[in-house]
Amino acid sequence: RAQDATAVKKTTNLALKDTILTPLAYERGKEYTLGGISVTGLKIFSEETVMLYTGLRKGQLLRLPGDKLTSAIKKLYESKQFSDVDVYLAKIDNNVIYLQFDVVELPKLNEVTISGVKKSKAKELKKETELKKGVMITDNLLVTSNNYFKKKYTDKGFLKAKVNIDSKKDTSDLNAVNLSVYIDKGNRIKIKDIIFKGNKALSSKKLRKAMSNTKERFFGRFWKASKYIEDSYRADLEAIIEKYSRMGYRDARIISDKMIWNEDNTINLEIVIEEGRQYYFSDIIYVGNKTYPSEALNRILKIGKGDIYNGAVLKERVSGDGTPTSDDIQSLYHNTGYLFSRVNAVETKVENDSITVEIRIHEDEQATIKNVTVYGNDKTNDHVIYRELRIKPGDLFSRSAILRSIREIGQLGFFDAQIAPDIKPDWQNKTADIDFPLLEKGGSQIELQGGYGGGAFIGTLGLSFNNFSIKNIFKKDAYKPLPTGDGQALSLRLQASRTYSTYSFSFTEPWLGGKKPQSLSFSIYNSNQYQYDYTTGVIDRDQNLKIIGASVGLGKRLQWPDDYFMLSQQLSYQSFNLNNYGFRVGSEFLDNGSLNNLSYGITLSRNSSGPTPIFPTSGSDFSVGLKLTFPYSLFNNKDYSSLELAEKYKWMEYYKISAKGKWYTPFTEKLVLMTSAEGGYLGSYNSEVGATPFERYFVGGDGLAAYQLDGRETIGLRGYENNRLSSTEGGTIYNKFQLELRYSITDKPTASIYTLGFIEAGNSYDNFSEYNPFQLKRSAGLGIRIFMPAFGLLGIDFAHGFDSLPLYNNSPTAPKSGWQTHFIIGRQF
Amino acid sequence: CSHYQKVLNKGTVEEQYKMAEELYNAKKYSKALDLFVKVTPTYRSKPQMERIEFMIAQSNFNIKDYDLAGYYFERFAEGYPKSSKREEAAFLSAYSYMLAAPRYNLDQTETRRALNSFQSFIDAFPNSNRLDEANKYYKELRYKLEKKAFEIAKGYYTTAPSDPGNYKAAIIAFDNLLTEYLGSEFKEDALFYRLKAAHDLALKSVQRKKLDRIKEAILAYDKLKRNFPETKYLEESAKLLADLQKEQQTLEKS
Repeated sequence: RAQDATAVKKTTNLALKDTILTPLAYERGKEYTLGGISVTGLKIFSEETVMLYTGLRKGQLLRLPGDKLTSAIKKLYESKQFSDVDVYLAKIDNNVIYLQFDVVELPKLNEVTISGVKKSKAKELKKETELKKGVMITDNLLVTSNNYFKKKYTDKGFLKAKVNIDSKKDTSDLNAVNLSVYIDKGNRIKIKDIIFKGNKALSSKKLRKAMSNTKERFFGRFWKASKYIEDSYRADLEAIIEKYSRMGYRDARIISDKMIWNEDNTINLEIVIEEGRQYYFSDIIYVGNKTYPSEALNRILKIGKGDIYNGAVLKERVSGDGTPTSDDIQSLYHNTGYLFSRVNAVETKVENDSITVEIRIHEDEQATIKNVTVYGNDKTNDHVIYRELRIKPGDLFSRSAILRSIREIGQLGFFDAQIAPDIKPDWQNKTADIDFPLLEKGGSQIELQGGYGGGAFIGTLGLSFNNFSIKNIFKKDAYKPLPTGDGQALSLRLQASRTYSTYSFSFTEPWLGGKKPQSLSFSIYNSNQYQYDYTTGVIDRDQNLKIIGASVGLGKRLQWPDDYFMLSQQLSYQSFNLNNYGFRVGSEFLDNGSLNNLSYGITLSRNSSGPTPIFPTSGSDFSVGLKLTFPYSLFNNKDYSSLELAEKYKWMEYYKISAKGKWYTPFTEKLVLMTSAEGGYLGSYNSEVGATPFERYFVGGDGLAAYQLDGRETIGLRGYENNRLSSTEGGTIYNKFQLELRYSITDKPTASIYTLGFIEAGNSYDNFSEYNPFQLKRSAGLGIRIFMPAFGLLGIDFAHGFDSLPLYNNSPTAPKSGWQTHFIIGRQF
Repeated sequence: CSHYQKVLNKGTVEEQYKMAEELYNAKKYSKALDLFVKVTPTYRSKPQMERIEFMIAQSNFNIKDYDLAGYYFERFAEGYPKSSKREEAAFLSAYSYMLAAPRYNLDQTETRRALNSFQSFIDAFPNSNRLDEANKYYKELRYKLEKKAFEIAKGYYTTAPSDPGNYKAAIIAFDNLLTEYLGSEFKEDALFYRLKAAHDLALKSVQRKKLDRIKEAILAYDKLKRNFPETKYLEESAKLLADLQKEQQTLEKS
């Protein structure tokens, strides 16, 4: 707009000159042919360039005064290359005019030097500023740059920072300048005292506490330095008023505030407050509510007559506190389709210290969803996302359904969890469209490593894709670099050394057949171990152990008791073939034979945690499971007490019961408490057979399930060495309890990082007679987790075990476990 | 190569420009681009800039960075309205956006952008000899969007057995498709699947709602039949209608 004004001014200028040269020309809207343009005042630009900028052409018709000339001038200014543009009539020849543009080119910036601060800081500042080589130097740029540098320091408490920018002509270039920026940041100014006046109801100490960013100088404060920053100081003043209003002092205000400089280069802040009187709620009247009775609404408001007046809480309970889980009247309406409803609280009467509030509700009609659209899925196919959405065309508008959709998308693990749906209401048709903008993050992990272990080279190739598309596996075009988008999980792992090799493959399709939320997964693996003589280094491949395993699983999402429930079933089979290979079975060794482990497992789980599996902030995750084999010994009439090992475990028999629960309690968006409890029991059908030596629990350590031959379950308990809390044969009962406080440092698609502090306790028991749920091994510690899509989860924990290992038999002189370091790779606690 | 590095890092602007053009002509687009980037600050607002900008766009196109190519061609077409290359740039901009768009079941922002660009091209250059091509691509792009909308709507129908609310979602999604893409190539399929969804919904409804929904499903049948009397779904739709009528009769008797 300012530029428009200048442009107009210039045309007037033209008109004046015009009158002198050719008095007749100033007829309204007279049309001329443009005979040519000349430009004066040029330094580096050519006449043609200026002409190009103006958009005028020789020979064109030009009305004077008129739009075309105005816009030509405007365009020249807009090019940001000229500080001054004047237009004159050079010559007029009948109907042909010649224009002369008189311009002043802006100087270009050649080099900036910043002095007065450290070299590294100067470099950093140089990067941030807009003073880049080649920019046109305008006064405005100099002023804004000056302010920018100054603010940079005043914002850090250097209240007396001075900035000076000098410009010097660059000798090597025609129209270039060099700038020197001098910064004198001075001392960081600390706040000595914050003095309150006029406060009676709230102590100065309480008020100082309410100021969360502006703090007095205080020895030993290291969370927040004492510094004065104008913006946060203003915000803190508001916080004081807010504090008062929450206590019923609705009229409280700050009469004045001033900054006083002390001799020792510190400042005092003096804040004068007028508290006013304390108010109480009188009647609360609901107007306009048809769908919900006033009592129901009052149960949400939770405010009664006589309560201390609290404007902030009133507002929160009427229109929400800004969190997605807010429990307020407006949310109630939004959750049940009344998107167009409006709820307002109005103070209608103030009598002495009592305030009558009217809650005015305009319900309007319920809104129906018309379009639901997903954007930003550059890898994941539409159907994989749409089938997870809980809000669909034709549904009533529901905020909770939208939030649930966000959670479900988060659970897929393919997208950034920060999803802000765009709701587009159509007031006329009482419908709404919803857009879900998504951001893909990679989710495939590749592991390729070679290492030296056990006296031999070990090579590992691991591939894990969590958004695979198996149907495109034979399509060449789909390899970009891999066929993705169908939400299937596929992993492949090959590991080999001279003494052993294992191959495993697994695949999961989350929606079998694409019609129902029923997952199918299967896995197979094969492992071969050869006898290795450590003293001679000879490998004998004829002495070996071969394990083949396979499993099939079906998972079904349930609608009842609620739709967070899932029922999974799994059938697995494992076969061990021994050839002169000393294989440990419980406390004995078996050399030859073949063992089989065929089991059926069923698990009922409910997982409402979210939004993402990486850093859940709310909800809970429970499961109870049963895994069992056929009770062969009850039918085959064999005398197990006299059987050989190989016969006894030819078909293993056992049953296992497990229960796990995790709760996530958010304190803030970033600070979450995870509480967890779990336990398991491995039982036998027949006391003669006894508890199987396979499938046992091993408690202690990082909990990483290393590749094991005997189907053991590894239960982490930090602060103790791996597996050491169980006997060498493993436990048949375990339980474990955890409290873990997690703080999210960053939650970006590229990396999620959080720190954690925990206390936990657990133990493993060999049998029921030993079982004592109160005899637990305790520990506490700190750690960090980093999740990056390409690497999976990485973490480290430092934990202190307070109790001794079981091998000391609780002897009072036994050393406690002490500090342990745990590395966590690819697995979540 | 070392000569290239030398010019890239230490050469004068004129040298860089000269070399960029040579590399461009020699079809070494990636290297040419690096140099073009270096020289743009100097040539900005100079007459050479027009040529440079076109070459930048063309280079991006040739190294298959269609997203950027689309953007640069568009900027060229807007920035140089009097250029002789404007028509070509406008066309290539739309074409680049089209090539940048992924398969139909992914985000179609690029497709929509390409569609708009071709539309503007057709409006701006009604006499262009690329008009036929533009129209052809326009149709292809629209088909892609229609296919997307159709598959999403059909997806609601497919998953409805596990969530009956999806029948209604499918019906509305098909309605949205039919209003948004008038004369769609999927009209017949959409009308048929809309009938199927209405049919399944009606027959699976509770008694109280059944009759109304049967009537709506029959209307869906009428609509298919009216628009496509000889529909390829003749047999199937007739069977669906028979189901509905039979159920209707039983209900009305009782």
